[in-house]
Amino acid sequence: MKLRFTLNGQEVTAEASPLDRLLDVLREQLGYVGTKEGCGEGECGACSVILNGKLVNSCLVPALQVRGGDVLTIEGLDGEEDALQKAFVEEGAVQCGFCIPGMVLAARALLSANPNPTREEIKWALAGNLCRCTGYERIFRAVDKAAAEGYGRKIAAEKGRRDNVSEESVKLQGSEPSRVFLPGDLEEALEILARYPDVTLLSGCTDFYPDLKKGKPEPERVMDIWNLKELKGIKLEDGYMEIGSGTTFSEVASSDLVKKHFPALAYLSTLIGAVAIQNRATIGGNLVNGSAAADSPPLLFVLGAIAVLQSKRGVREIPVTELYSGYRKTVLMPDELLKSVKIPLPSVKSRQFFYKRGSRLALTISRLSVAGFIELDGEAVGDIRLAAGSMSPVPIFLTETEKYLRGKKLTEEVIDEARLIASEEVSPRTSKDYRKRVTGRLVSRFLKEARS
Amino acid sequence: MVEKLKVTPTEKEFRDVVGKPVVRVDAWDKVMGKAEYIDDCPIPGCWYGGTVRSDVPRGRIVGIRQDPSFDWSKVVFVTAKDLPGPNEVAMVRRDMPVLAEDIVNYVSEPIALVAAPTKALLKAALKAVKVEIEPLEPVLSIEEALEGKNVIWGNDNILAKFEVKRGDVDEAFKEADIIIEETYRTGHQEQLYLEPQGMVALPRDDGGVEVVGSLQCPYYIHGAMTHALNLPPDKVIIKQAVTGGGFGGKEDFPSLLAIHAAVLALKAKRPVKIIYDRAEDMVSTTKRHPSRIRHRTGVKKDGTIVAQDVDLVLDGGAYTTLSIVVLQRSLLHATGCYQIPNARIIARAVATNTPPNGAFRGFGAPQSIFAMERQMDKIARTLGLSPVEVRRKNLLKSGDAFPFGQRVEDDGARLVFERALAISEYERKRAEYSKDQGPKKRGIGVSLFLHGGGFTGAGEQKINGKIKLFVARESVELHVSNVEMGQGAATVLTQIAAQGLQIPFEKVKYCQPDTSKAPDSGPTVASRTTMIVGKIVLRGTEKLIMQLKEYVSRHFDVSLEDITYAKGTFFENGTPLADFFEIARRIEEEMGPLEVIGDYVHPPELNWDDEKCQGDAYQGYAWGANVLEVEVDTDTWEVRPLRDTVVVDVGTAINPLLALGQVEGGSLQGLGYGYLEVIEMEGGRYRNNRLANYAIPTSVDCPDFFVELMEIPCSRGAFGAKGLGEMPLSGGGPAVASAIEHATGLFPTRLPVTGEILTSLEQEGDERRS
Ligand SMILES: Cc1cc2nc3c(=O)[nH]c(=O)nc-3n(C[C@@H](O)[C@@H](O)[C@H](O)COP(=O)(O)OP(=O)(O)OC[C@H]3O[C@@H](n4cnc5c(N)ncnc54)[C@H](O)[C@@H]3O)c2cc1C
Ligand code: FES
Ligand code: FES
Repeated sequence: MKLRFTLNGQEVTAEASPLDRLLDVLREQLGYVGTKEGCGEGECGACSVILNGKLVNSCLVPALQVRGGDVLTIEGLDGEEDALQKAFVEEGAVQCGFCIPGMVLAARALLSANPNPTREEIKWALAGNLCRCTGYERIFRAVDKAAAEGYGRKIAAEKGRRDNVSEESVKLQGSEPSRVFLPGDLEEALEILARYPDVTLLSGCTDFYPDLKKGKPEPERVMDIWNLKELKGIKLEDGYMEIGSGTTFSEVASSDLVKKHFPALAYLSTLIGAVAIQNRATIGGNLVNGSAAADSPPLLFVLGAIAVLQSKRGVREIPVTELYSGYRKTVLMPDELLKSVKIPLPSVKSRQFFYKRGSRLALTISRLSVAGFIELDGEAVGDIRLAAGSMSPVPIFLTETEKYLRGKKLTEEVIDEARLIASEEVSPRTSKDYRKRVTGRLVSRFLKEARS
Repeated sequence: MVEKLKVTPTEKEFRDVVGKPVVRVDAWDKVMGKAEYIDDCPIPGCWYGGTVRSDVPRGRIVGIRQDPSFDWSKVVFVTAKDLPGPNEVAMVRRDMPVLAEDIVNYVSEPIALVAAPTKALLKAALKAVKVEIEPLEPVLSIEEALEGKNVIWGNDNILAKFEVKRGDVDEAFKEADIIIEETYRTGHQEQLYLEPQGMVALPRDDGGVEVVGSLQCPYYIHGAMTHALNLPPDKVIIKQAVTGGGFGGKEDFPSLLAIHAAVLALKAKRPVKIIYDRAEDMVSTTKRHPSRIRHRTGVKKDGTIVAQDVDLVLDGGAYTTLSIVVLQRSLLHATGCYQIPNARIIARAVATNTPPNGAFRGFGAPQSIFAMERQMDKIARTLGLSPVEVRRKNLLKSGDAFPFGQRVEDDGARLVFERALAISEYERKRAEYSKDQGPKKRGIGVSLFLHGGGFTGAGEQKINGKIKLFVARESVELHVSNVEMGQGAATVLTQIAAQGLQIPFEKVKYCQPDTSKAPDSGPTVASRTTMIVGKIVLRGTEKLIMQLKEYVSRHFDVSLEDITYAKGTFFENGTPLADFFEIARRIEEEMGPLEVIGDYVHPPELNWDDEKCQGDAYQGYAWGANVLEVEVDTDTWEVRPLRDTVVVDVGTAINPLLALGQVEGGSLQGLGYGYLEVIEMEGGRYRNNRLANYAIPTSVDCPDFFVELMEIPCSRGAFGAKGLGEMPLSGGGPAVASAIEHATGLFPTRLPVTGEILTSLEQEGDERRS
């Protein structure tokens, strides 16, 4: 296909296959080799660029989603005139340099959103950009220095220098029109889905590309749903919060509504990969993809969320707990997509909890996760739901523990007994003792928090 | 009258650069995305190369079948039969084949190669090859290798063995109040340079081949290529592209990769590029040797060590690679920074059917130092003494001897140790953190470490490194085979040359290594570049100045003794005569290009007996102390490093800013080794084969660093520099283990200290109590 977009302030055209990664378009089609490939699956950040104002991993963005977009790569910064690049040079933040273009852009994205970050905020903002050489210390100092020089405010003022893409931003060629679909609205998308039930939906593609890497064959037909407005947004209605399936975890994490009603979900969202992943990963994709290690399902299970499925035939609602028919299999009909999730608003006296333990603190896949929801009835346990993730193909409810707890007062003894029961309810395949023990303790931690 | 020559303002421009935080020469290119790494270089007509690999840890190749439905005329296909020379990758030994021919010895071992004009075609061709292998029973662990039921290497699976003895250990054990024994283990570690391995080979008109790539040791590759391709040395050229990290991972492995690319290029008669993707890189390239180290230490009640037995085994993987030298370094660092009057150390490297292990920053020392430091903590724990006291009691002082006989020349161990304790406020925090309540507990731990700079023993004499200085119009080119891979060599060597020549830093040009231009100054390994190669560079600068002086003497008819040289200008008894570049230009005009070779001169006072492993093993020791503070969530065993105070003696910090970067980066890599970076094997296969399941520290897992450089100069290094690059890594692992021990009360004996390990220690504790 023929693609037009803005690159570093200038309109460019490229010939690309629709599923070529933005990284390939930049490096191979356009010769912009400053953007590096360190892993090709979103895990290193060497390929980071800023797309439409947001930090993304260019190894996870299909060319077709760049149509009409605005891309900033390292080549678009001002070099000696750029206070951030200068700070990197002067503070000794550069060693082998391979992580640096991505790192600089991640730092820029941070400063443009938060001109005066704390050390902790810097650490979290750069968590998706691995550096094996520096130990990060000099990088943090460089970001501090640029911030002190007002870099964030300066770049905010510069915005809007992009060319607007003049003509049609994309042209499908050859057999592409029968294989690649770029619907303008949900209705059109449902129409296409009804006609081609084998079509693969592309949303944030953060699962799509890693799956290809792992050997999944490239799909024959694809449909871009990333831009569909009907799938985006968060609203309150009839005692539910409805989150569009195309809402990204960044949007979920920063939503005041979510923070107010579902603090555990907001917290969870900040732990999905790192910033560039959160900017692309959607809650719908996370649910439908149904990886055993996905973080949102266990929490949505205990919150009693409902999946809203839609096809040309109509809408149906099912509990999220009934979404899965097996490992990475859902009950979606071939012509259906997930439109949104609806979560019943919890009472003010309820408490919710999500905790994940990966191998490290950030950018980490859950080795186990525990989600909880509780409502105390006076001193006794009223409604309680507990689920554990990552230790089975689909999250499981800790039903024995729930049963044991219901109606009981949360004394030390009760909590300790609940811990033991919970740890026996999960049956992880590997690292059994460790994951069982930790599951039990997290349940106990939640109960202690709920009691206080 | 002899005409006066021009005295240019260079005199004023020169400023001291050694000891200054000069901005890296490569910083701007890198920060602007202009630096060309190998996959960034446009090469017209270049094909893509790929590798067919073994899927089993050990077996006999029965057949290699090419799917007849694939059009093989469009690609180039190579098996062991098509190799132009001996099927050997020449390294320390020649036991590793370029392509497996009859037997495969590890999962991912290369069996065949393909080159194709496009990536898509390459993928299809690789898919169209089926290798039939009849599996044989593999040897998958140190224990299985030692047991010797299946012999896969030599007569006994032993790749190398060394022994060091001092005093009378058996007698001394009788004097001990208590004997403390423990077995320590460390796992694989992946270098995880951010830029994966990559190499381009370009056939030359003369029948030779040029290779450009991401690499550390141009002449290692040069040697391996001439051997495997049967080419004379002048027909093989190796050039380094900008290299995105190496850490030892691009020390030995690129020899294999370069041969692969070259074989394909010669057959295809066009350039061929092999760029590994991360998964291929992780499954097939070398890692740090896993180890099993048994310590048996005789101590007095007050913590004084009287005798020590060490039995050290490294898992070398399927072929020797560098295991012999790695093992030697392990052996020589086995007793760490302590004075051991009676010692016996037996070290063996064994072969297993796992991917060959190779060089990785630290090169055998981190394993040894982890075990020794843990043993010190164990002694403290057993005797009820503080870890600090036990260390103080046994520290190596100036004049003490290592088990292999070399005398210690300074009090670096004590100085860095006391300084780190003081600035970290170790004692106060130890007391404070001990009181932590609740599930989150802080801990503070300490480790003490050292590193011998340069090659072990007679290594530098064997390499006999040379550098070249070439005087161009207004600059001096520095040609070495030591590469810039992030550590700062290009900048530091430029500083040394500029300081030596007393000309402005900007006038020295470090040239990207190219074997057709640079003499062999040795590989970029062993923390030798600044210390040893720097010294050779310095010698070259002295030689060059002497040549110019001689010219000045002749030209001005002034006796040599009356000529002085300072800051770019020659003087006669204090009167300026001429400047550096003017003289250089004249020499060039009169006698042709001006270049000098700087040579290695071995310090005559150092003696080494390779057979007995006795004598002066290294030219100088750098020392370090690491005080790490962590927070451990004792519910989940999640560890967060909070602050890391590191004090290192670097001899002289040629560039303090770069030195700090080395310490921080190396320390974090050591912390990763300590508690995060797990590689588990399943049937000879790495289970952790992607970035998603091999966790290195992110910015959030990184502590705040407080690094202090101490300078205790070493006469054998350039301007007093000691080897720094590798050392900080050794401190991380034991510091993490010791801090976690303080926070949790559990005593980890293996790295990395994962949640699983802590759980099993906890369970053992539970069982003991019940
Ligand atoms: C580096 C990295 C780190 C990560 N870390 C985490 C983590 O910490 N926790 C975690 O839970 N996940 C993590 N993930 C996975 C997470 O990013 C995805 O699960 C993401 O949420 C999927 O959304 P997407 O929009 O990217 O989906 P896509 O990749 O676009 O699609 C995934 C699948 O869902 C289908 N799909 C998408 N939207 C719909 C819809 N509306 N209706 C029907 N089908 C749909 C697609 O057809 C496709 O099959 C990580 C991923 C990466 C690459
Ligand atoms: S290449 Fe590693 S995140 Fe894209
Ligand atoms: S500078 Fe080498 S990976 Fe960051």
